[in-house]
Amino acid sequence: MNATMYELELTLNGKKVKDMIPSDMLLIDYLRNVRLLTGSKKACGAGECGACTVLMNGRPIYSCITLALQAQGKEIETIENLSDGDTLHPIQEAYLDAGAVQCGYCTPGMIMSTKALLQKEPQPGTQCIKEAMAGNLCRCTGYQQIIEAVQLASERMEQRRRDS
Amino acid sequence: MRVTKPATLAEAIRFLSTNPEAKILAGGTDLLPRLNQKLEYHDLLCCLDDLPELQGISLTAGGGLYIGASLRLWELAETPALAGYLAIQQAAAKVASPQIRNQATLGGNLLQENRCMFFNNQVPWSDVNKCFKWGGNQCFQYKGSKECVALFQSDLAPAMMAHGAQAVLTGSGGERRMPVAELYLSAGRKAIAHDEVLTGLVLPPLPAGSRSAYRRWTIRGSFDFPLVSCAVRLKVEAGAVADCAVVFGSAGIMPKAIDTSLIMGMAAGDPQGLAQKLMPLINKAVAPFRDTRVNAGVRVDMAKDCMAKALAAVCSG
Amino acid sequence: MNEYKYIGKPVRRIDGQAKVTGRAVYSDDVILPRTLHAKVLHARQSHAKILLLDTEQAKAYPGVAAVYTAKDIARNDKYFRMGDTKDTWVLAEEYVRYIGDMVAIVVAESEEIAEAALRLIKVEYEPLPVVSSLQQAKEAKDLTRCDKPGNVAMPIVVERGDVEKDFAQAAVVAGGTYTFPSLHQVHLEPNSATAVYNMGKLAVYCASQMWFHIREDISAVTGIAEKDIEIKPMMIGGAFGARNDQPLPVITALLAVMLKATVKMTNTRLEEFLACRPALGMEIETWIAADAEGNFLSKKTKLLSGFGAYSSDGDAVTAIACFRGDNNYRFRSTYVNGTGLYLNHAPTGAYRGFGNPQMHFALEQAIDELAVKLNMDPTELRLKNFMHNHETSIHGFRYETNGIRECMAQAKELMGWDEKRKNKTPGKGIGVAALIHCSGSRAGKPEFAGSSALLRLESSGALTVLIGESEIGQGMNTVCTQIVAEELGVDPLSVNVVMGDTSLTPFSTGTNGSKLTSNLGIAILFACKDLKKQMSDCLRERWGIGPVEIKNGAAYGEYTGEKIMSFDEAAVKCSHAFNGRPFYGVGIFEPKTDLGDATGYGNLAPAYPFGVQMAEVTVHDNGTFTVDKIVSVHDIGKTINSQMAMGQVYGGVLQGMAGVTLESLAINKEGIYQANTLLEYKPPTFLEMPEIVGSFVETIDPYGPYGAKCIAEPPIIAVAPAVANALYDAVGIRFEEAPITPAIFRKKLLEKQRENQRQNQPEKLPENQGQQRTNPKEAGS
Repeated sequence: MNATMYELELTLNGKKVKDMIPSDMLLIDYLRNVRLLTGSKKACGAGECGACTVLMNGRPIYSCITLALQAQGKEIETIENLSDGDTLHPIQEAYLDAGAVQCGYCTPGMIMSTKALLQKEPQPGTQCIKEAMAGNLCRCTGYQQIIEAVQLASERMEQRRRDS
Repeated sequence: MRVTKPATLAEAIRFLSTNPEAKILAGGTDLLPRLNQKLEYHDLLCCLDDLPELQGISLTAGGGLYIGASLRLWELAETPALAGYLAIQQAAAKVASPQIRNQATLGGNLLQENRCMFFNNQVPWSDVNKCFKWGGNQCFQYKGSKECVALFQSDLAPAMMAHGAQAVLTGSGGERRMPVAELYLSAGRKAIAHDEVLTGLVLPPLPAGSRSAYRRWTIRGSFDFPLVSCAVRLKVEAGAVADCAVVFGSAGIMPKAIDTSLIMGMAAGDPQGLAQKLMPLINKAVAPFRDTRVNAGVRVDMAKDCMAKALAAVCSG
Repeated sequence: MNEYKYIGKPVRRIDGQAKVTGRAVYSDDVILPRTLHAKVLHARQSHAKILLLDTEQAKAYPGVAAVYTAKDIARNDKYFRMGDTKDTWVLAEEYVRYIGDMVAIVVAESEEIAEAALRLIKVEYEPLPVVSSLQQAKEAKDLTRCDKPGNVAMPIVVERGDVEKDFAQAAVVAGGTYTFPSLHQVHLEPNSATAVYNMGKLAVYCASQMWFHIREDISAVTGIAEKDIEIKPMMIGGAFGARNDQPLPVITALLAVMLKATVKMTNTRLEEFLACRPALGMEIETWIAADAEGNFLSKKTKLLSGFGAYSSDGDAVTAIACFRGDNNYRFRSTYVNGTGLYLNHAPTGAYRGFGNPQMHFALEQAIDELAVKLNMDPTELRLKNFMHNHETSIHGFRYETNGIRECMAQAKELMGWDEKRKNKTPGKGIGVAALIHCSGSRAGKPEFAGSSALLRLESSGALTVLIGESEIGQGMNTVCTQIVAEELGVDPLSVNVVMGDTSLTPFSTGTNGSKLTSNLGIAILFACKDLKKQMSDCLRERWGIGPVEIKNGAAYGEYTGEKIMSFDEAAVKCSHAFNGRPFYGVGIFEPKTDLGDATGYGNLAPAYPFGVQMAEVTVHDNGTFTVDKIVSVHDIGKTINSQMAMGQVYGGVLQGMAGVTLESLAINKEGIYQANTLLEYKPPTFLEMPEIVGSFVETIDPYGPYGAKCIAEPPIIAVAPAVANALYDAVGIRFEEAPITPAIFRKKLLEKQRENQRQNQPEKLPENQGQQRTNPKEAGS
């Protein structure tokens, strides 16, 4: 019961932060309850759904089966970091335009997996999208419009790269 | 629950030797779900996640490879250094889901807990169905069994065994090595002392003409543990089988290698012929384990299918 | 056909921006000051008598605010409202009857403290026999509950026409016994609620499909008048029927009242599986009689449905399973004998389709079997027997629009049905199933068939739709804005929608029965018309302007057609001239439907959606199968949002496919779900998607808004029988039991091979014969 405290230092959404936390605290609880970043969701607590997906050093992980202290010295990025003021990230725009959002509970995790995918593979084929996103469950959409959203985001980001 | 995070391997081993109750946590993807689901409880965890001594891949003096136990599964799947060890890369690329592969370590995968539908879907507050793993005195998979026969469902272990990997264990008494196969004892126990850490794996060099492959069976394409899997390594000389290892995963309480002497010297161009020859050995290799969707017969069929496909892959590739 | 600006278009979700940025607030995201946290002690046994319950140690644990058991709760028996069977309690009293039954609750300063204290509660049980299967319940040797002899929760026996006579005249009879398991909705967001008690008033932040029902429940259990309870609707992370009946918000509210405090409670995923309300498992024996030409004569059905330990929505679900499917075809007579049975597992209730998928699994396979016996194309047999427009079905449904034939024609085209039937590919199979559903429900309020809506106009020109239903992801809030935008010509994104804040909106029976677009949509349409009239009247009476027509975001002269002023200017003028009078457009839709007589006969819904679903499967040489493609064509009336309507099809089809190929709660003899994690229950991932081809038939219903019917539930309904029929086409085996697991598939294949072997030449059998077992130690070590 007597959890010792741990001094956690990490880069969270681009900013260095430092917190004293119980050593057994889960990363999802740190993000939601300490940092009040409630965009990441706790839906299974077992790494079986993907609603808690955040990026650790650029790669998607399940924050519900990761201890906060495992993020020591690392970069964590959450859904809250994607939009810039009034401007949505192209992935967020694409999710809206493709109709990839229904109840929205899986959406933050889905978008974080999409971000990591498009970073690594800017123009993924359908099978590549399915494989890369297969760690995120969605119960509403049947996935089809999410795949379309990823493709749309990929096209638009490619266009933006070409334009700039 | 307290969690400690040593900065060096020496510190970790010192801690483990003075705290025999401490449970090791690496990536956490195997242990933390059970803790969250209240299937397991520990007062003390020792997090080895980022120990510098457990990272990296290097060439050994003998021309093989040394792989740090903390290598993440995605690294294992993608590193060009392992290009020849295809079974290992294929196995690493199939584990659970992308998020798990980004977090889980090689060492953690090899030392994961055995699983069974009765234990892993236990209702923690219920007092019916207490099995061995749950502190009871019975096994629901095999009524009458004297110990737990839960399945060992690691993807990496059969691939590592097929490639003859050695486990490197470091503890208070120094370093020792043993074949990966010998890590696994009865009832899901592992041959590691409480003050020992699996620090790395040593892979022997690949002999010329060697190929390997890994195939597995799952209900879903993601998340699921293999219902059964098969790693095959084949060395071909002058068109004939010169050496072969066939290891089944999720086959019982530990990976099961079968005797391949039957196919020595047979034509490597005929994978179906090789598979036919080995088929009769599978019935005995694969434990008649059931879960909510498959029974003994299905698992044996799946094992045969995995082996046939893995053999086809190494013979054709 | 009318040209619309917003109707039928892929308008963006109005809640989308909040959802893609993580700013959308779901129940568990609510963080309020001085909140206490509650955890439930569930039953350790599926059926037992409580001999001892001692909470003293838990109460003394530091940080614990209270520990409650049934005897602490004054109105413990005031639960539940859905069925007439008053058979449910807040906390278990003398007996526990399923593993999720609630025995005690700890409220503490943190969840961790509450959990630690739970372990200090002492309970002793005397175990009682567990009833875990429908057959066991039917035999009634053991009782699920000692207060319910025979285990019968509800009987339904109805005969229309002369069934025996029709069966005696039949040239062909086909059917069998079909088993459909209890499935879980797997809404991704676990239930969570925060209740704030303050000086006799209560506010509850939660998710629900039925805000006003939740308020009634809370009032009944707490004794606080409904007018002193405010339900604060949070964003909802999926529902699919699971949020029709939820104990958690009710209990959280009760705790807040008992402690005069703010209390929060959140379920774990395990609690979502074990202590919520999954779908009813059913065993359905059904036979269809037809003449030699394939004209249906009669249908006979015996149905058993699993209620769980208490009644939730079981009675309504069972009734729909008993009747609804019959209405798609012309029967001279029909007989149904349905029995709801108590079982020692979680109470069961609504899941997308509400009993209809279970019955369709039986009915549409029986029809397929009939087609085989008649040597007819199953699409032809169905076309021959479908109901027509303006006909009344055997149970009293009257169809103003029935596009089932157009659906069939489109589906055949999209599947390439005729071509694939003519040139059969070995190992491949195609199957068809048709479906009917209702756009409408009365959801526990027999006198209430319709919907009401308010449209508020502010002096700024801002428009707000106020409705008592829920946004559960289906996109109703966006549909609201489309209707308002279409009628008034304003930007849909400028329209606000308040759904379910019980202190602001009209009463509603909630989001169920696929009725929102069809019923609520008209109410909103009426509210728009009412507001336009009020504005026009005001401009004329107070300003001498007009008569005007409000459209295209402005006021136009009714005769000149000239634009007189902008909508916002008109709003200002109306408001100021009336001393700030609020303008509320009121829309009330009262459909001309029947409650149904004692036998369930009547025109229950204002409109009926139809559909045809087809599946294509491949059977592999290793003894497994995959679903390659599903075609899903729906008579939707009129599409309001093309993109979101298609989203409903994709989602429903994948859920339907998963229900027959993947998912299973796997109830064991102890009444426990052996699949109580997402890993073991196996909802589909990206990698299980078949190719889904959705399409719509627009029949333009005379009652629905712009002709719309509905689309939310239909796409799940006939997928399972379509897949089963496709498997029959591929391998000649009937799969009467879902889910079709690898074990069942292999067993049936082997049986078939053995049968072939007996009949024909000896054929090589697979080497392993299935169930034989080697010594586990030998095999495992």
